[in-house]
Amino acid sequence: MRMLRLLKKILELDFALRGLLITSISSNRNCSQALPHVQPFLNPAVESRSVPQAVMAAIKVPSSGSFSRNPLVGSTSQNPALKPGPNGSVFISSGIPDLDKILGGGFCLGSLIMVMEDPEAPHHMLLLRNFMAQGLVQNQPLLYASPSKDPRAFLGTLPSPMLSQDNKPHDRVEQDKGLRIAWQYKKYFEEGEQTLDNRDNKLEYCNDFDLRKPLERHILTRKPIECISMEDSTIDSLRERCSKFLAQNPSKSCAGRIAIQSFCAPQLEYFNKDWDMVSFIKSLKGMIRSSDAVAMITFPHSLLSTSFSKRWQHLADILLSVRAIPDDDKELANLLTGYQEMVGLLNVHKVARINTQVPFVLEASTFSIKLRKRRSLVLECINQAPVDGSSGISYGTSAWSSELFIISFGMDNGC
Amino acid sequence: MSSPSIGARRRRPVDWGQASLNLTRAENQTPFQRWRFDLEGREGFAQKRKTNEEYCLVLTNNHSGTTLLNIGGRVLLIEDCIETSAAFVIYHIVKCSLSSPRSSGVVIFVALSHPFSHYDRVLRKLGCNLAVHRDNKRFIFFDMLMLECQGGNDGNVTKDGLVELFGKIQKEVEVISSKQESERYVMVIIDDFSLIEAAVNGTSNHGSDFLHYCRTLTSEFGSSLVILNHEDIYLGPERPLILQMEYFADILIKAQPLATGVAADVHGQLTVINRNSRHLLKNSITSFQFKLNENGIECFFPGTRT
Repeated sequence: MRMLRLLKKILELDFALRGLLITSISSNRNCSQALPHVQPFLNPAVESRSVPQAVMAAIKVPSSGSFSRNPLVGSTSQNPALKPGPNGSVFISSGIPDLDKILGGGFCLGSLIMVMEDPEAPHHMLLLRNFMAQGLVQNQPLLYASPSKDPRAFLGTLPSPMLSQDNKPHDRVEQDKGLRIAWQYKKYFEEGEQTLDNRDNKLEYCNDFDLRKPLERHILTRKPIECISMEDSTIDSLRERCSKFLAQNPSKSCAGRIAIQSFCAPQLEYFNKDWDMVSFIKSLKGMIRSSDAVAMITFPHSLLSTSFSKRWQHLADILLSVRAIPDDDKELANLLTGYQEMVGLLNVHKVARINTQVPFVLEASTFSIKLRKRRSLVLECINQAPVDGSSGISYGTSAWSSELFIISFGMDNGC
Repeated sequence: MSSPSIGARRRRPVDWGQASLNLTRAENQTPFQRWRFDLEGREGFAQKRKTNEEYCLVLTNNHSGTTLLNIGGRVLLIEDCIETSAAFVIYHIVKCSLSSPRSSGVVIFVALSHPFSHYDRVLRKLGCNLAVHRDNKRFIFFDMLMLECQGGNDGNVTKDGLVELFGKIQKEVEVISSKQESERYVMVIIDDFSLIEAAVNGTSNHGSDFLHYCRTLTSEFGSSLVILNHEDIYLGPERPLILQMEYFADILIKAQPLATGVAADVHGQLTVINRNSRHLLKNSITSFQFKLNENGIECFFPGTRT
């Protein structure tokens, strides 16, 4: 009898919730706004804003291996730019908070990040800009090489970190929206908010960047930034510059960042020398591995022959690829939620495996790149739009109800 | 470089112990699988007892399931691809060779992809202290992370770097083999070969020359050679090189991703092709799936894990 009553309660709740969702979806043409309400409770790990503290705690205290030590626990309290990771690795931020979360904390020091460009769109520049700006904000040495004639001009386009005041009201609105259903989770949000406030005073591990605001002058002039135009330099001179750059920054606390844009662009003198380029990447990899720096190379992989493209990909510790999505693809727009905000897709092919043999298995390998309010870069799991409520029993709706069942059961237990 | 002469293959009575790639089996497996399993296992065990003078690496052994791999004096080629790295096979082989209590094998490790600290950490979690073995001269580590073979100002590629490297390896092998007090057995491991090619700027012959010289060590001193390479980079005109390597390899281990995509419980599949295994009646091809943990590898036949 009790069971029956329980079941009835669950079903009621289920229907009520479903009704609520369907009305909210039908009232909102844009489904992307409707979905995030539900998501934090369906799958807390997916929602980015709700559980940063939990994620960070999980990273800080590696569960595997009772004997793993973190020698950097002491030193990171002084240097917020570095974060201890599992297996004695140290993370440095990519400049995009979501990408850090996807990769389990950021880029490992000593890793080589390669980004495969979309030949028709400059999406790799988004990653490159944030990567460089994050380094400059944290006062790290930077080397930037580009095929353009005047690489220094690119520094003017770097984004500026968003002030915390800009961010807060936005958060609060979202928070109010999110607590319409499971209000008892409210306390967790408040806790998260408080700790975030505390951290605002200090230099942050990872900033949110405002893509519309250029980086302030005084940050650009604080430290000498090495800019190299690859057009008029040979590959050997580039190698020398890199090794000199790494040699002059031996201090472990302040890792250097190397950013190389469009490494195999056809206008470069060494474009045809496939083996020279492979050998350069190999030696760069060796150099940064032994000096605890990070290097990001973007390359148009379609210009390389397949076998060399594979070689390059094998050399990468972290391998990403970016792709633009067509502006008005009706089919895709129907299939994906939040298509209007989306500017492209990011694929994660490989995650660094430093000091471990266990691969880092991601929940998803494709993420959508979105520009929220045209200024902040956000990466999200791709959500397939729910099938329209009127279409009766379909895979989409049945999956929903089963997930909702879990919530309602959880609520019952709580009562 | 003095060309090593090809001598008769010498066999030494070295017991490789129970070096194993532990195979954990699901509890509820069907009788058919157990039967197949046992058959292979028993056969393997029986052979191992009989031919004690062979150097054997037992792959996939637990309870009774065993695939016997005799790697003494043989060439082992490990192939992987971008999606699935096979570096863990190398770690496992190092661990098997060093930590088995009765073996006194020496591992010569040519590392091009990682510094020593990486291997040390990985192997420590597998239960093998590389730093101690290095001090005991059982683990000889060549840090070739910065191997460059570009000569001087004219930009010509010289093979001096590789000749020097081979000279060092040869010297170590000779020294170890000349010691009579213990029957020592040498294994040369190259991690990974594609980086050697990159170091010599792809001038095709230097890399493969180096490989052939290393191979002669196997026949001259009875040492074995383990090479890691990537299968998917050899396309088109470069294809012959990997085919040559596959041809002279006695044992071929291939790591591939699952056809169904990435999974958290199964990290990929291994195919072991054991050529001219004279004692086992057939040319055995074993294929199983694996999951990597920090402290070991779980191997299982497809479908035996729930």
